Amino acid sequence: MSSNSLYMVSGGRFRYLAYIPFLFFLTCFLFWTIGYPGHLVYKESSSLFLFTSEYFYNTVSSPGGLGMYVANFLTQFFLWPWAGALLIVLLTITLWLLTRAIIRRLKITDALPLFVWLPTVVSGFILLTIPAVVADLLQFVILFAFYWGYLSVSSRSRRLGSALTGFVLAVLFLPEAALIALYTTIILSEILFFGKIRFREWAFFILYTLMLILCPIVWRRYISILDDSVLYIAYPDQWFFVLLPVTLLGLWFSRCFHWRSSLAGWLVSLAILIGVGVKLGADRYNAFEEALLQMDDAIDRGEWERVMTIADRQQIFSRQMIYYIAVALANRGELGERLFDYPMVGVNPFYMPRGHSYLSSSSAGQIFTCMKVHNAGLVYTFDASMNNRYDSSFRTLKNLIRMNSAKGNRILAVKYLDLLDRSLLYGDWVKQQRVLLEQQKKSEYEDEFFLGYGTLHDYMETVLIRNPDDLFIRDYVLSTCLLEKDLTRFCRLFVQTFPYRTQPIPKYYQEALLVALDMQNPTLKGIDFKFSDDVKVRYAQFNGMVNMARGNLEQAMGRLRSQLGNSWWFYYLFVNIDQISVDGWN
Amino acid sequence: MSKMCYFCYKVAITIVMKMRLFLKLCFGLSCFVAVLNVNWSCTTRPEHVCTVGDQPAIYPDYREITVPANIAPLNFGLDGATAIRVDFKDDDRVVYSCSGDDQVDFPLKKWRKMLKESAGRTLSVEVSAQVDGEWFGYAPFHITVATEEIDPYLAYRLIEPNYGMWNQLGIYQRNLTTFDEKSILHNSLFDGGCVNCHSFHQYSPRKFMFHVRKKDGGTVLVDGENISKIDIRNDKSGRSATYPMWHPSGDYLIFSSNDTKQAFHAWSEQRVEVYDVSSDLLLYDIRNNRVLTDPRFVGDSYLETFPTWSPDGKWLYFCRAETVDSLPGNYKNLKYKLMRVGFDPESGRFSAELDSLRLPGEEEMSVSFPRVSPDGRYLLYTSAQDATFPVWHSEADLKMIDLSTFSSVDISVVNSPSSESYHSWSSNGRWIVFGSRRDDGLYTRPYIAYCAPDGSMRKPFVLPQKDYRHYRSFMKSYNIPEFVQDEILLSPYELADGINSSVVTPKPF
Repeated sequence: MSSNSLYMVSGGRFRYLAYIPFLFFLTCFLFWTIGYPGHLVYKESSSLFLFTSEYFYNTVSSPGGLGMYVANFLTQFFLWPWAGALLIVLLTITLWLLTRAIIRRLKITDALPLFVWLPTVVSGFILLTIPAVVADLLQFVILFAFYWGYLSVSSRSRRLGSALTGFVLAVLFLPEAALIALYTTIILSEILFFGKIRFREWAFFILYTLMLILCPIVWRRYISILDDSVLYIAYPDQWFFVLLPVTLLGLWFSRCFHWRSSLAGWLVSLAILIGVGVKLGADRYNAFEEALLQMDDAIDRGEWERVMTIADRQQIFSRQMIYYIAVALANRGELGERLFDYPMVGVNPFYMPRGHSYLSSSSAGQIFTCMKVHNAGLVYTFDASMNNRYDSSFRTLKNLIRMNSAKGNRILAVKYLDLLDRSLLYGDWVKQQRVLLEQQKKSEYEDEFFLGYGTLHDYMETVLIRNPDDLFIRDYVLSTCLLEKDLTRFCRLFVQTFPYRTQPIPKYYQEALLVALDMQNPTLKGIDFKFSDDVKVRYAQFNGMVNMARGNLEQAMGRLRSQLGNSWWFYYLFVNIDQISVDGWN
Repeated sequence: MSKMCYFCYKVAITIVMKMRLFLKLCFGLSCFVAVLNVNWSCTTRPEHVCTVGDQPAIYPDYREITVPANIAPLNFGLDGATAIRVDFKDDDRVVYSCSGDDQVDFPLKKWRKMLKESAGRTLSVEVSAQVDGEWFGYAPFHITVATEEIDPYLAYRLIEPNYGMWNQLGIYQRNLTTFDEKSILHNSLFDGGCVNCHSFHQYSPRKFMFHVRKKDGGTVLVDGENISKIDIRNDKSGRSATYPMWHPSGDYLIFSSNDTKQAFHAWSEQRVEVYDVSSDLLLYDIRNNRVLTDPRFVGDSYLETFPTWSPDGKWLYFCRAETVDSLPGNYKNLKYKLMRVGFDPESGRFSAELDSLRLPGEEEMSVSFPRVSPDGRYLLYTSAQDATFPVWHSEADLKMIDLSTFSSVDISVVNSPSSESYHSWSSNGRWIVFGSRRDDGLYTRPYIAYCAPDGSMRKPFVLPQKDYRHYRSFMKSYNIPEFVQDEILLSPYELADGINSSVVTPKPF
């Protein structure tokens, strides 16, 4: 049997079809590298792998733990999207080769493309979602490898025996769901493909079943505690394991009914394959999430320019994205200039709820570190750990190091550094942080206050007064005042902290100052600000239009916005912030 | 040709067979060498040792401590060392020697034998270490082996030092004579809920309780094979039971019922302040399944918490503070004092007289976790500057008074610049275990200290672990360490079944 026949390249006419696998895998690689790198980096940053006996034991003590251990080791390389993409493609290719080898072992010469490609196509979609981890894909491949290994033994009695002894190995690499799929497939293949079963061979099947029943019981009793609910299907993606018996049954059916010889069968199977791919793609592919994860990665690396580049490509924004954009802008000192360039109207980006998700908690932790409110940063970072499958991650460890280092808490920073030093790829980062730690001084704590009591503005004000020269904090806090329509506080803090005599005043600050001057704010009395002509002209136009529409402001809203664009005046007059749903500190 | 082939085949078979024999011999020889090597590694004697005047900076610090004769091996390491040799000497006679690479891992049997033979004596420990290829011999340190044994099990909760959120947590039991640690209960068995405040009746592994916080949670009481879940709460406030203590008779459980809040410091070294806005005392009558309250201990004027019984069961000790307005801002005014009230186990009633016990320096401190020694002579407590959650107070220290004279006993040897908080006595009263954050200021570790009959304490040592680096990398805190006299044999699944059973409501009183 020629290898080409396996994927329906039966003659010279269709020789070009031999390039399909190559194109498929190349497309996969390009898709992951160019189209979905955020997810790849996220897989790495939200995972953990340490060369410690404790980590090894903790990972291996869960069913299929060795497979997870290997997968977590590989996940470290997802730090570079191209390496992650390459690994995924290599795993997918391995799966494809295994499927072909299995078909060859089963001596099926007329396999439909549906069954040759189904596992490979599905495996390509496994990692598309945020919760999916590399272990899900690796264990899927290992499952097929075990089945292929089983088929490699030619004598039936030896095959059945090796499946029995191989159980010990399989149980180390595969979770219970995969074991059930594997042994179901083994039994099915013996019945469907290898002739009549003798009486004593049924005993093996009974033994397999017994082992499958006993395995979780023994595991629960002697190895680790397992809840009933995760005993068989620990994670939703483990349903993919069912593809092994499904593929086998499909192969048997297609052989029995000679589907391949019928063009209709061939086309239908191709259509089903494409349908499955499209359905999985539609269900699992999420461009919006990808943009969010790319922004999140950029925030983690402090690449503010990249955040803005991604933001500029977006049409729709989530609250978390707005939050990231605000942070990036504030870090560049541009928040006051571009506050309403993004849909911040109606969404106050400065509140982060506690404990909602790993993603929001870990990024909030970093942002409070930017704010130099390290304890809040630590609260969020610990929350992030709690929301993670592994109770910790590379990212939370890095954040804990950054925060304790910034706080001057050397002992804890060193503890976490020593821990991260036992990973594979963070050696240089750890070295850099150790140098930084040497230079770091312990923080002084005089103006102490409690977070979450009083108003958010009270403690933001304290933070700004403590760090008046910090570009991020100044821009962030002053903009918070504007978004909260707290003009009095804005004016007070602006005069106190902004070098308005030497530096140009950002656009939205100018807009607020003009209103405050009109309202004869006492803090601004006698101060001569330099307003840009454009702002002054637009303010005059805005006032004129508002005066004209007096009594019917609702109707004027749309016109004001379309003619004069976003402005703080518009936000101040028309956006009701009391109606904004915010479940933040207060 | 065929003969030739047959001959070649036979030669090949013979070679393979011979090789098998050879390989077997090689394997056997390797095993023998490995055994010799292991033996050698435990007896190797370094040469050209450079003498150092200081004691070795071993981790964990087991220098100049007193240990029970049944404690697990005190495995330790020395940073930077590539080889370590340890000689235990009794009156200049080497009683045991062992070597290791960067840590010494004492074989359990030999360790036990040495401690058994040295009970009541002080061993001198001489450490030599190879650092950068050169051997150094350090000044000896001493380990005293007490004649009094320690309870063989320690129960504790393992949880991240977080603030109200958790992922995986559980209560564990550790065999103190070995390194075996088993789970008593894990929250993965009941939807990730919280389990806390485990308490044992007279150190019994068969009679104990713990709380479960989740939907349909409650207080789980275990008595032999019987597991029941009871919804013990304050009728007036609706708050559930919190800090527990078994009455020595086993017929009552005293609880505080706390409305606990937490507030985060913005940038102080002390990250969080945990405080009660109200708290009362509840007495649960186990035999009659009813909750008893005393109007003096239920109300808004005072905050009562951390109740504990005297060993004869005739006195109840607890902490009480006057209610403070504007918390958390005024948390520094929240000072708990130690109180005592008589108790009649027959009637289940408290005496009319309520004593406020004057503790040395009580004006400047707040008292938590009072615990009376099993002989009833000493009361050990935690003293912090303010509030009620000393684990987050780095200044929190253990203190002790002699109840026969109400004078303070100097136990400063057990304290550190970091927080010392929860503590409990061993059943023979000669050992205490307490949580301390002295290692890194955040993660609580269980420390054990010897308490002499005269109340003097010895330098504490951290619970020994197989891998000396354990505490450096372990990211969970040891919470509420409590001694237990034997292994808890109920499986976590049986306890989880009890948790998932229907809740029993106490009868109205």
